[in-house]
Amino acid sequence: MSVINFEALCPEAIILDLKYPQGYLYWDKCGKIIKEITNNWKNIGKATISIQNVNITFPEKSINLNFSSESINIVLVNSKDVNFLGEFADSVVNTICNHLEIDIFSRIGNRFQFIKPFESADDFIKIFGAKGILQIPEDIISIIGNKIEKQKIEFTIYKDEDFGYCFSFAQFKRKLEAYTPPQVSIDDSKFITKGILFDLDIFTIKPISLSILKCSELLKKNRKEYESLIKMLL
Amino acid sequence: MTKQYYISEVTETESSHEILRGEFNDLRTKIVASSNTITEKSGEDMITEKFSTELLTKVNDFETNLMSLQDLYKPLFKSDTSNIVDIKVFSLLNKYKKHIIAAISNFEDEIDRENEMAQFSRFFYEMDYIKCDSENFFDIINSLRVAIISKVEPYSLDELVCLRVTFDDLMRNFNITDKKFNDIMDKIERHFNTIGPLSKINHNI
Repeated sequence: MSVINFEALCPEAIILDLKYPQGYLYWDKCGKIIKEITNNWKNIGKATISIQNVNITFPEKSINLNFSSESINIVLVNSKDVNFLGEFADSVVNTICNHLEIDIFSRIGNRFQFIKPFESADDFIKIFGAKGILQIPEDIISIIGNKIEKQKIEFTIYKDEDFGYCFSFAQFKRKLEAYTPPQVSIDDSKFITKGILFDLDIFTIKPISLSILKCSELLKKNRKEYESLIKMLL
Repeated sequence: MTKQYYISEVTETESSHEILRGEFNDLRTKIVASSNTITEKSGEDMITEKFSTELLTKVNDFETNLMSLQDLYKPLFKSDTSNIVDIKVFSLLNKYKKHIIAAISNFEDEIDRENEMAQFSRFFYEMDYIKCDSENFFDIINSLRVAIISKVEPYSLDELVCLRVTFDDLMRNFNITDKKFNDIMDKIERHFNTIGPLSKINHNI
């Protein structure tokens, strides 16, 4: 039986990262790419451009797009809407690759980060101890100290010569830092300050041709795998 | 004088490999050239040779080890169903759309343009091996098939743009609604002959 309720996990970020070896046209075609993306997607935010990379935010859909001469990085923040992310990714990846004349990716990584708010400091050990993933005898811990702090488990499994899975489970503490005028207050009640991060990076090993890439399908497939693996492991 | 059409087998992916191979070879030459001065003194020619061979092996691996369509979308669990047919159709549309784009960009060069479109016509033969559930989608493909195969004159810019827009529409969603179907068909019929030999019938008889 699963010790965590997957549906109760809060989405932190879903990241699609595509790396390519020959993006040298970045410096030549940057403006054209931004123009096409802003024409295709209404209400998209202003682009921040530097020699290293371009950053475009899509506040309405909580999406952040980053691209450079080496990679495209699309992040969906605090949302589970993989369908929209896929639609957006299909469009922008196509636009960027057409302009940069890229037709091969050296690596495609898809990360899913969901978090479980803390109920008690022992949550991590309860969850991972129950499934036998983290088992350090009490007597050994007591020799060194009282309890394990900054708990973290990280491992990579290669499914075959095509895909690898990098799991990372960690306890975290954070605070919201926002600088506002004194008369303005921010409602941070929904901001999770303490919790456990369930992070899985599904990445490809072999190079991939653009002609077979449909980001929306890949995202849907990986999202399903993430859910099944987390349910199975925990 | 008859025109000589040269149909290149080099796809865009392959040409990208060629560029990459060229860059590796340049790098290799530079390394070998600079290493020779060192190795002459130290007598370690074997190291230079080994390094350059390894570089070439890496290029070969990159060229020959591309992930296949089936591998990219294969589900983790065998019980999961994957819509591999949709992906295959998408990848074919994507592959052959590039010929339309190339034909549009080289429109002024008649030989280049018609060469690209000759390569594009292979799309319909590849589609013969795929069975998709959407009838509207396949009706559009069949209309295009009739239009392209019965075409004997050079392509106009309007026709090429119409093909490109149709491919974009098809790639967006394979499950084409009746309304969308009518829109796309109207567009195709405005630019192409979709009824083949029937267009030659004299309706006044």
